[in-house]
Amino acid sequence: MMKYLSLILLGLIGFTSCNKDGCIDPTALNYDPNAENDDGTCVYLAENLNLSVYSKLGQADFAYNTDVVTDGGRTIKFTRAQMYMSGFTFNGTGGGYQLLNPHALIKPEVMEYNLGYLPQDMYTSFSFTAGVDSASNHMDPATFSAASALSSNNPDHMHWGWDPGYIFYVLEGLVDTSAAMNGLVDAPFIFHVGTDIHKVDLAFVSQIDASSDSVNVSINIDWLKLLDGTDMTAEVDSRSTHTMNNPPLATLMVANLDEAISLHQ
Amino acid sequence: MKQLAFINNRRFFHRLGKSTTGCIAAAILLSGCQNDVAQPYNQQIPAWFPELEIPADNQLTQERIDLGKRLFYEPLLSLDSSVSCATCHQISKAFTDGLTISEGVDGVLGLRNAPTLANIGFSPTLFHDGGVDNLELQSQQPIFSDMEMKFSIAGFLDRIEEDESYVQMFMKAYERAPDAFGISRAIAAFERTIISGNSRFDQFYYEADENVLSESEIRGMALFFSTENKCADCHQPPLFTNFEFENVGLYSAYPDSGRARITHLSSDNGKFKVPTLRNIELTAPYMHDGSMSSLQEVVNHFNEGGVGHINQSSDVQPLSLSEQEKQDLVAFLASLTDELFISNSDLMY
Repeated sequence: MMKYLSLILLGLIGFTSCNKDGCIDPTALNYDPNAENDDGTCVYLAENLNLSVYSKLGQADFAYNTDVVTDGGRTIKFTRAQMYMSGFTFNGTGGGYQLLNPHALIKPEVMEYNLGYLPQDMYTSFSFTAGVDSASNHMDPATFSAASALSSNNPDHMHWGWDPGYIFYVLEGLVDTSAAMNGLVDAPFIFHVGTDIHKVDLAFVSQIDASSDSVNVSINIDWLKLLDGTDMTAEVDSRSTHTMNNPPLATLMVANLDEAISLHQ
Repeated sequence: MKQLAFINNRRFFHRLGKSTTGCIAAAILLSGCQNDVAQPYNQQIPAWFPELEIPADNQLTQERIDLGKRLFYEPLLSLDSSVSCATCHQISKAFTDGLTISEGVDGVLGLRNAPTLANIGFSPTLFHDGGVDNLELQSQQPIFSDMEMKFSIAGFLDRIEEDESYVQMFMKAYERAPDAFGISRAIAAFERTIISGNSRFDQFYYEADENVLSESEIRGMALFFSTENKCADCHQPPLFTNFEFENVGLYSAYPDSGRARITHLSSDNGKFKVPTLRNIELTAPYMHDGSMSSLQEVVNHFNEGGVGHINQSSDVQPLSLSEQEKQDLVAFLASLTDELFISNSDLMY
């Protein structure tokens, strides 16, 4: 017994006498106030990492309550469009870096989103998830800080209030469901799509110089393209899904994400 | 003889033997207050009930329950200030609303029949499909839902911003300004006090008062607990549910897939959470879709054995009950009504 106690005591003495390695620069992102030896791991920041989102309806700029035609020939108008993005990760010479505040709620009427800090580096690609990462998706929205896009204090937040979690994508509007497609745009369409299986990982190759104080990345979202392949008729199931009640329509919309979101050149 | 044996085997308990207190949590939470002292809440739970599990971050205090009760009855939580939690969960109807399908703002119909909140704190899952596993999250859902309150917590917070009484209640309860955390926790705290365990069945079965049930009710009780009829396999006392999900053969094709909406499993199609039968006399209409208007209709359904859905519970089989036996069974179900529960002023606002 005494032998073990001695070993533990020696271990403790040895541990406490070591000078801890780490980042000792207080201006660095990963500054460690307990570190005494600089181990060269300091990460410095580039401020104001900005995401610019260009919302489109085909080639045209996005506009609510404006007639547009789907690939199926239906005339529609959007009244609401929102989408969560999460897990923004940038790949540079120093490896991958995931942003500390990874959630953004994208709306066509808002173009600029501040995503927080990105370490100085030369990045060659970035990726994010359309939707909400699985861990966050099953957290109580009341427990996020009020500033978070996921917080239920946020008036725009989208959550079902049950285990499936957040509504990742919301598309609402009116559609001409007539067989003759006579242009009377009066039937509601609702796409509320979520659940873990419907988040989509997207990656883009792009040279991003984050050596300056300000960094910007730009993407396009073609909200109309999300409805490709639909044929919204008088049959409600053809134009309404809350995901769990109509999975095929949710899956159809999600399949369009890859082409609907692109790098803005 | 079988009936007598059953009665002789009943267990005897003293009522209201269990209590939980929030003393420690209250002391910690309000240690920063200068003049206010948290009122520990002495939860009265029938001795024959299981333990009530309460999240560490929402231990019960009187202040939290008071705030939760005010919010539960607060129509400002809805878009047009017309709908509160109590709209669909009325105490006189054992916290249901008497409607086939509940109505939200502008009379918009929801998806299902409003379930009772009696003893809801004991339920490991919530909603007919079990889509939520805690009251703190569930309490937010009706606020967001377009079919219920159609509003937002942010909108409600704007409305009460100038209401100093609300601010004080939130500070006393959770030491924070009004926000989603406090709203969801407080409503959940109040809901955990909605406890019903004083029916005539309880008095008879657990308290040995042999004079409270009629002959018909006692016969019905024997039928209910009969291993042949299997009612109690799913509706197990003391809460009269096993909280499992079952398909009871209502339809050959279910318009509402129920539990499968959560699990995406075809084997869960048409399954819904086994409801408690406590206060069942007061909670018509019945089934997840309110499709049966009377207990007689429900008993007839189970007596006939369901329509034979592929996922139908093996416990739902034709029973061959006589008309008298069906009447006795309905009489027994009515003995599960807790009159003190529906007149409990602590649950009213």
